[in-house]
Amino acid sequence: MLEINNLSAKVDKKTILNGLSLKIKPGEVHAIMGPNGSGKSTLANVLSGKKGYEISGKVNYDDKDLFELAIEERAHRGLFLAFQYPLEIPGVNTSNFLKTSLNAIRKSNGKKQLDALEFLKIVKQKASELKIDEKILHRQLNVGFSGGEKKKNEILQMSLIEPKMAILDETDSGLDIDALKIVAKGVNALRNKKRSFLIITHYQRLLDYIKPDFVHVLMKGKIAKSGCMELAEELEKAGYEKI
Amino acid sequence: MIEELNKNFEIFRKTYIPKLEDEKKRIEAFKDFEKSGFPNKKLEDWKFSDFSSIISNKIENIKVSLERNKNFKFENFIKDFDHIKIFFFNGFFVEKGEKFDEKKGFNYVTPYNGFKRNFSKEGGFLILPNSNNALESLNNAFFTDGLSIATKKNFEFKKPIVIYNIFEGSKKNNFFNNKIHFVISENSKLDIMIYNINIGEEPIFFNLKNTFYLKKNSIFKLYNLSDFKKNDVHYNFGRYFLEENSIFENFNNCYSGGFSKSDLVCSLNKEYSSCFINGVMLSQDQNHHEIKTLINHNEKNTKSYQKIKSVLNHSSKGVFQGKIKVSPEAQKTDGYQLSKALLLDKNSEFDSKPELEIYADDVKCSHGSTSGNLDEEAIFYLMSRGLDKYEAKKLLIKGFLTDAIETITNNEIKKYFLNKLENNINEHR
Amino acid sequence: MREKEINKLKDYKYGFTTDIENIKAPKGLNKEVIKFISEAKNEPKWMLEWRMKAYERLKNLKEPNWQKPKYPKINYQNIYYYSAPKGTSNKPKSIDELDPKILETYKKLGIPLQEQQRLNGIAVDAVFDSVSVATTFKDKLNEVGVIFCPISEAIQKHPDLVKKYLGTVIPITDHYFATLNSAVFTDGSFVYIPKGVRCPMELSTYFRINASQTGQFERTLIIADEGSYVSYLEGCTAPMRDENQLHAANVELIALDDAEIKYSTVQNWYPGDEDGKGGIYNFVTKRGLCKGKNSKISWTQVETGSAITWKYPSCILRGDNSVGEFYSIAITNNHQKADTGTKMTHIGKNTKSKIISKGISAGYADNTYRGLVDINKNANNSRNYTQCDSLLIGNKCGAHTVPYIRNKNSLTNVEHEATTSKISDEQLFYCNQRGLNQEEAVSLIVNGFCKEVLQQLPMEFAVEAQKLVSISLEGSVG
Repeated sequence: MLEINNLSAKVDKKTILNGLSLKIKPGEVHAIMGPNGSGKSTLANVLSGKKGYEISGKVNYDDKDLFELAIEERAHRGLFLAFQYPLEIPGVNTSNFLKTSLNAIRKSNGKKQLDALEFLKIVKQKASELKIDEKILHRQLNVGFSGGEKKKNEILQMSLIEPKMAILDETDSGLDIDALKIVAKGVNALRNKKRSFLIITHYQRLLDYIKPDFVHVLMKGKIAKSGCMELAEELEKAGYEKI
Repeated sequence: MIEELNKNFEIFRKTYIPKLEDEKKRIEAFKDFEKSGFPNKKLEDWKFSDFSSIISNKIENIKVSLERNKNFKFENFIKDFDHIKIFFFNGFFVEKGEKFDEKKGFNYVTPYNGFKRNFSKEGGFLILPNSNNALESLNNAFFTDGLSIATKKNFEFKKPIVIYNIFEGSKKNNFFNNKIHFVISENSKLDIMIYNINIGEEPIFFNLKNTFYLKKNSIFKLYNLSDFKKNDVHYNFGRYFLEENSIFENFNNCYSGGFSKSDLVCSLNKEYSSCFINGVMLSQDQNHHEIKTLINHNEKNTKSYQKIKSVLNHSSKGVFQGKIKVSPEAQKTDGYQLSKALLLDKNSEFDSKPELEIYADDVKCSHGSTSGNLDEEAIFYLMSRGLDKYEAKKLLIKGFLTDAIETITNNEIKKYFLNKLENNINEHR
Repeated sequence: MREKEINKLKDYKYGFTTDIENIKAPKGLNKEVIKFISEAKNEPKWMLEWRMKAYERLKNLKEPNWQKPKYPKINYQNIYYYSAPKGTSNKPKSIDELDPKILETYKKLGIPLQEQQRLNGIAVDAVFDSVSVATTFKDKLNEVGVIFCPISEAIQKHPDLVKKYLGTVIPITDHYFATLNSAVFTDGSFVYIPKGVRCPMELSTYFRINASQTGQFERTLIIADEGSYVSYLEGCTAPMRDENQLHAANVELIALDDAEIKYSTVQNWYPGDEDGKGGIYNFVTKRGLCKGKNSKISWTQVETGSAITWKYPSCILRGDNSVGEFYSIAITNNHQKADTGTKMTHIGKNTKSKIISKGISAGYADNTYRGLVDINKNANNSRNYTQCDSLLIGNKCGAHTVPYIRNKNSLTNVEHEATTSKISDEQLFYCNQRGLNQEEAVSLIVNGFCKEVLQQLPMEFAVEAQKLVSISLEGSVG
């Protein structure tokens, strides 16, 4: 699904990712942990195509060179990023945004566009499954949302889009336990043999609910250690210094 | 009025003691003035203040000041904070009190004493021809004295300079034109207060042009305070040029009588320069104050901040015209402007024109302007806590204006202004 | 070359020309031309005198020059002031008699006039160059006493109403373009809503400039009598031409006690090509008088077309408790220039006004909000709220905010806010990541930016306007 080979990224000549390699097969859930400034968010941004990075290395996604695809093309091909800080767009109705997004992706995959009624049915169902208050659909996109609401909105979008490869960038930070469960539920409901996840987090907390197949530690721009759940627990106890 | 000025100009040319090396320029400047006359409300810049009718209502016979008098009586110095004193009396520099010496961190020159020493590359007192500002032309034609100071590099002044402009308005002496010109050199730091007082019986017209150059990494704070009477007229034309990483702070107090207009043009010419232009008006008795600003953001990463608070009572008038102009080069500009006014009686008026002119797309600019009355609920709340209505209003006005004064970063001067405010509010009926 | 033309047509789909024979007044501005217009319209003598008065006044007036957009000097002698499709100078009695080419034109513009195809719930007055060619649903409106007809017809059939109100909001001496209009106005709509009547359908006028070298000088007069309500829409398009054409309209609204007028405009005159050649000069005077107590006038405008737009739909709030509103979207792209805003004059007590302006500037365009809030001395307990937001796309364009605020009443609250911003890279990235391409993302964000204004429009127009907002900005994001 995703194969990262010797990936480096610089911002203003400062190296942030420094020869990172990682392979994610279909159906796998990988977690990346790491201290602040280790390059976690940069990895998520680079994979989804954010501008402003000087990149070297190779990333293959779904048998394509990822870097040849525009941001929206990556999205069309099933790459989804749940933002650490979802953007506020004043005046744009959340439900309208979700519909526009979903239809843009469906269109590129040759699927039928959903009309307002069909869409509403689906989105309401997803929201109720995730126990997300429907009211957010009628509000302006992320405007005045609490941190928890913004993150839940990201998970709702993920559930709607049903991506092939979802990257969650510190979706758990700043969430209370109930919101955390919603995030985990969203991920677990989508887990299957074909779909992959890359979960970026600072704490073990979320992983208790998601149970990843692999855990990696990112330090100084590369993977310093890989393992399974035990590694996460170890980190929680001993911290990052020992690695 | 123009005819009178014409006579004045003839007398001035004959009797002004330092040889007029720049006589030609002065004649030209006077012609410029004659052509346009005093500005009236047809001009966009004077839309809310018809200077032409203001001056003719207030000053009967205009008489340019030519009398140089060292022996004036003035004891009313500011005692609240330690400062370097500079005096002007009736428009002439007076060497009194403090002796300047270069150890104090600056060189100075006044045109009356040393005009021949042409000291400034940056224009100084040089008269720039073809000003399209009639009052600047008038100042160019008539200016009698002034002060030019260049601070030493890397010098930090420990105490502020207060420039006392003392006037004894009389029938013989009522028209004063000065220029102040400062270069704040690299890495130097200076605070100045300009304090204008009319101790005479008759109204005056004080026309001041001031120019300040802020060099790299300099910090300059300029505070204005006037103690004028009901019929005094004051025009303060300030131009400020900021270089890299320099900071300019300006605070204007408009408490006093008569008409005053501060016309401030601040050019942020180099990266990371920033200016803070704030002020308060507390007007009564048909006084009329105007603050007009133009901030030119000419380079990227520049910042401007303006906050003007006004309280108007007893048929007074307040005007704020503020413009933020962002040139195409000035990406990442941060411009902010806020004007709030309280109108306390039915004959007062507040006019504002907060303007944005923006040619760069990656900028953050905003302005806000409100005018209205005191919050009735707040008055009610205070009264329910035992204050009478008058006390409650006073408290709210004080809070309203203090908000602007709190922006002052020189703590001694802030304290002084807060005391002034307190006194003014107590006098305020 | 041909391909270029076709591409152009794609950008401005209303750019076609209708090939039709015209009757024109001789070129130029003089007494004879004014007489010609007046005679062509079978006007009574008083109307001609009124025009002549304006013409005399015009001689002493100068074109205003304070506005930001500058334009090359207009040669007023090189304009046709009257141009009408042959056979329409006496208005056809029924739509069936109308030249099929004209019917086809309006059909292409999305305004079918024939009985069976008419838009539901909207009565249309179609103005083609200098004349009104058709008005739909007249009978149905007659039943409730609503008069909706071309102003030339009203001058003949309802002279008392016209005499009583014409020129009372915009005096013939007002300013250069308003006075010019008073002298040479050709057609436009007249609306009278009788006491207590809520107009049963939306009224609309569709303005079309077709002939070349022709100015359009329409005049609209809407009177809402006590306790009545009307919602009026106007739309405008013109063919693509290399020349600049002048459109100088006057619109007067009068709302009596407890009456409400809602006036919406979607202005899509030809904006000129991407190098700024051609396009309409849209110099329009629009003013509403809230004459009666509790009256309300609300202006909504979506300005996307014209080479230069220069208009300030205003409200004079004379009646106590009257309300004025101004909602505006002005989009300028390429070399377009817009200088628009409003004047809210508060005279009566407890008067309220609200101004929401959204300016969007792209390409090499200049976009100015200019407005006046004037609170008179006796306008106790009045309120104004103004919000002006500008959005810049690219760094060759300009966005300006020039509000004038005069407050002479201490019992009044005036609030003004303005911001200037850009579409942030982060917002675009977020939308891209959700599968939207650059243009879709910009369109979504801009429509969000304009939302407060778009939602003021009647449903039928809102959808059209949203599309227009997106189309106007095409190609502005690189």
